[in-house]
Amino acid sequence: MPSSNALSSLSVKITGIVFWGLVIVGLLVSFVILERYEYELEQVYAQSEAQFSEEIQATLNQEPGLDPERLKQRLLGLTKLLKIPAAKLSFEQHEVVVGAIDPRLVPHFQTLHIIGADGKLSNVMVAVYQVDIEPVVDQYRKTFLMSMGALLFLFGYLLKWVLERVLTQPFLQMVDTAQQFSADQQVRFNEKRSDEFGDLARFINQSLDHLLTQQGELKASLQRQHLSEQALLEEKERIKVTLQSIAEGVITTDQSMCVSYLNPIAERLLGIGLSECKGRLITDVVQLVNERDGLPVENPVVRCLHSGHVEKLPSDSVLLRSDGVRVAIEDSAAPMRDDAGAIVGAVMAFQDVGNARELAQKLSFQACHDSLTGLFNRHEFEKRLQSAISDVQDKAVEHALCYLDLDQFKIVNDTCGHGAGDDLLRALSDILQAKIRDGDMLARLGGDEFGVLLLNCNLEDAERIANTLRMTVSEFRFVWQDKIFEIGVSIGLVGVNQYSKDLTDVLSAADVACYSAKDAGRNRIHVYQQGDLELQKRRGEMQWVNRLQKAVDDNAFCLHYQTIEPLQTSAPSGAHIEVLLRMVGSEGVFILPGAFLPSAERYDLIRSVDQWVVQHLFERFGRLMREKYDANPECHDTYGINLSGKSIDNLEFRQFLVDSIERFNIPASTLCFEITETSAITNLAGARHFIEELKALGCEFALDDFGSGMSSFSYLKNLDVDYLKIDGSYVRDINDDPVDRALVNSVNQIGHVMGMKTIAEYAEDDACLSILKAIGVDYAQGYCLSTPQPIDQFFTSSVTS
Amino acid sequence: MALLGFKPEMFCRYFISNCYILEVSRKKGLMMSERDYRLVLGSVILAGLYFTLAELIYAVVLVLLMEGVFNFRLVSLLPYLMQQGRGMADWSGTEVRYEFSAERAWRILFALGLFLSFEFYTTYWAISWFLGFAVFGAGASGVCPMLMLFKWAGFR
Repeated sequence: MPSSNALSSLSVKITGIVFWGLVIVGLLVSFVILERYEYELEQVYAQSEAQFSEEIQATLNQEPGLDPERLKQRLLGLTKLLKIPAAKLSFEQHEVVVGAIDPRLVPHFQTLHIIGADGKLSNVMVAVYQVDIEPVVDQYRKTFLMSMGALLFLFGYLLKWVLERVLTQPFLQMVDTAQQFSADQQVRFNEKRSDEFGDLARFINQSLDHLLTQQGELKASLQRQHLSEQALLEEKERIKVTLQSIAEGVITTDQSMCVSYLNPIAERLLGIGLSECKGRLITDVVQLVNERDGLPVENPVVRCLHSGHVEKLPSDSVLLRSDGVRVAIEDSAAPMRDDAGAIVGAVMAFQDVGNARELAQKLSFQACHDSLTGLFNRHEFEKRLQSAISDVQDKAVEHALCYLDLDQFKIVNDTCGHGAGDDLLRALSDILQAKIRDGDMLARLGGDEFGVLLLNCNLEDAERIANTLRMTVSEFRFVWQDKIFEIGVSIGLVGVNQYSKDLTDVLSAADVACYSAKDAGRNRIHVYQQGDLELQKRRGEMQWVNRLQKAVDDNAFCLHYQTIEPLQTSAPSGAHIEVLLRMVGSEGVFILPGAFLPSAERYDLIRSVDQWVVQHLFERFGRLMREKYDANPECHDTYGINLSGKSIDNLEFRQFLVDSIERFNIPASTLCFEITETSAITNLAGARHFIEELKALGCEFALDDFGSGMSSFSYLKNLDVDYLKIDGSYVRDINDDPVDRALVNSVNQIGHVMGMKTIAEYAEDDACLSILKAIGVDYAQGYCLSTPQPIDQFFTSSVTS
Repeated sequence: MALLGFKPEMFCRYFISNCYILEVSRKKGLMMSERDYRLVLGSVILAGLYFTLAELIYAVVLVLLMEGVFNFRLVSLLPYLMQQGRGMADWSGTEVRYEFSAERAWRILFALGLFLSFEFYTTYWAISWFLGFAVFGAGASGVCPMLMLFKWAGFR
């Protein structure tokens, strides 16, 4: 349907042009026709009047003196002929009237000059009565105009209808179709028409199909592009969020190294915002210097843009911020390329590694330094020593190694606690460090062991320096609370020269030299010499290590026992034996513990040996021990088991012992652990704890070889032991040596005073036994009483009895 | 005519549907638009001229003048006047320069023209008839050239 807009445009134009043109032209034509009609009507009137007058004049001229009646007849015929409604003729005394003179008729007068019969000229007045022309014209005009109007309107409508049907309507339909097309693109123009509109519709429809096809393709393309843009936006957002979230600072630059982006971490590390540095050269924004010398470091972005590869910053570089703050960073820069591979910029990623670098430095320091004293540790010392050994093989130089072992350090540690020992070590470290030369190396090698590597130093100078160190330590007085300790140091000195084989050899030689110094009376220097007997002895010990380990693995040990006999009648009647260890040699020969125990002690195998003894004894004889105990609990046997100082100081061994007693159901009161005086004093705190824990189970303890060390009787107060085994070296010569006798007597008295029972070892004859009895020693052990026998015999005989 | 798809009954329906009386009936009530008003006005004027009813012509002149001067519309007394049905073709897109209604201006000018031509009917009878036919034609066709001229001139 035509729209209102179309009505006001195309239809209006057609109507305006066709309809109104027709109406106006028709009316104008009508007006002209009417004017012509009126003119012609007036002409007809005038002609009839003129003809009437002429006829009257001719008649009167031809027939002068005509009879009025005849004249009237003639006038009547004339009015009929000329369609004159009425006429009146007046002449002389006559008046002739023809027709009915109606007042609505309009008279037209005319005077005629007639020559009468008498030859005289007379006037004749002629009046012609005509119908009024105005009403006639008016009526004709109305009729004509209304008819014409109706005709023109009708024709105009017809024309308008035709034009609308053939032109406006199809055109407006096309317009309407075009308007519908915007809402529904499936709408098509009417192609059924066979005229130009049909052709146009077909052309437009084809164009629309083509356009829609192209539009579909374009839409698909736009959709793809939209998706691509969406993906790009998402990717951009993801990258942006990632860059803002990561812990690394990121800076991007263009090809000319001008900064284009900073992430928040980069802003924080640089101390400036993106707005301040955007567009500036990265070398102005990121200033890198060497951490140690402060010299500028080339920015990796510059290098990567030049090389086209990923470039890293040297590991010791720091970022110099504009406010002067230095930030340790790790940095790498990579070029950014376009699709063609051309470099379009660079991205630099860096992170604050201040903490990590500080930690690494700390770890590095800790890896080569002793945490207590701050001196180099054993690892670093051996590394430097190895380097020095390698050095002397190539160059004609000589170095020296001092191996320092503090004397009496254990006493400080055990009597005043580890805090005091630590303070002592720190104080001595400072003192020793001050006494060595620049370039020399002082390190803490163990608990109270120090090493000094004297570089480019011959043996004489080294001995002089070592002596200085010894004297310094000797003169040092360590004060702890109300106690003053005098410390000594034993120093083993060995030259590092072209004869030095390797690190182990040099360290072993220094160690041996140090032990030699200790053995020689402590607080002295022993200079190692090639072919030293002590070294050979130590090496012999080292050979025992393999045999010992093999023996432990192969159970190449056996147990013997020796009885401990009571000397006083008041002693309980149960058997008292000491369990003894023997190694079974290659040909079945028993090897006494004196041969292998020093090696076991020195090379840390003694715990395995002790463990073997306990395990073996309990496994094989645990049941018998329990049965014997259960048979007579009041008068039970006592089994003396030797333990080393290292074992009693070891928590794992202690736990093993407790677990074994429980597991094998051993009556604890039958066990008497023998600890040497030296090991007990060396590990006083450990020994005390061990004794307390085992005594809580019911075990007894004996202090073995008492008197050999003669450290101090005061230690006895700290050790809750049940037996004092007087060292055999005093007992052996008691018959001849009054001093030994006095000593045994003293020890016996002290033991008794402290509630302990005494046992004299090495009682080898009856005279000795008599003296011991006289002194009041409670028990004796020795060859005059019994010799060591395989322990199986003890349990076999017990079962038999 | 046959080529144009002329069908007499269609034309008759078309013509009749444009007749005022039938149109009014079709709309089930007195729904007079400006176009219908012109159709009535033209018919009245032509009737007055044909039957020489001077009073009717003067009455028309008076009504038109009142409408034009006082912006009063006789036809507005009827419901849906000037807003429903067939409207007059507009000269759209012309800037309004005078806040005076084109319909009012047309009424005043038309009334004056009709009055003067009728007063001097003997001489200007053609104008009176022309005005009668013109307003009737405007109502019949929906196109009033004079109104459009006013609108083109900038009347509202």
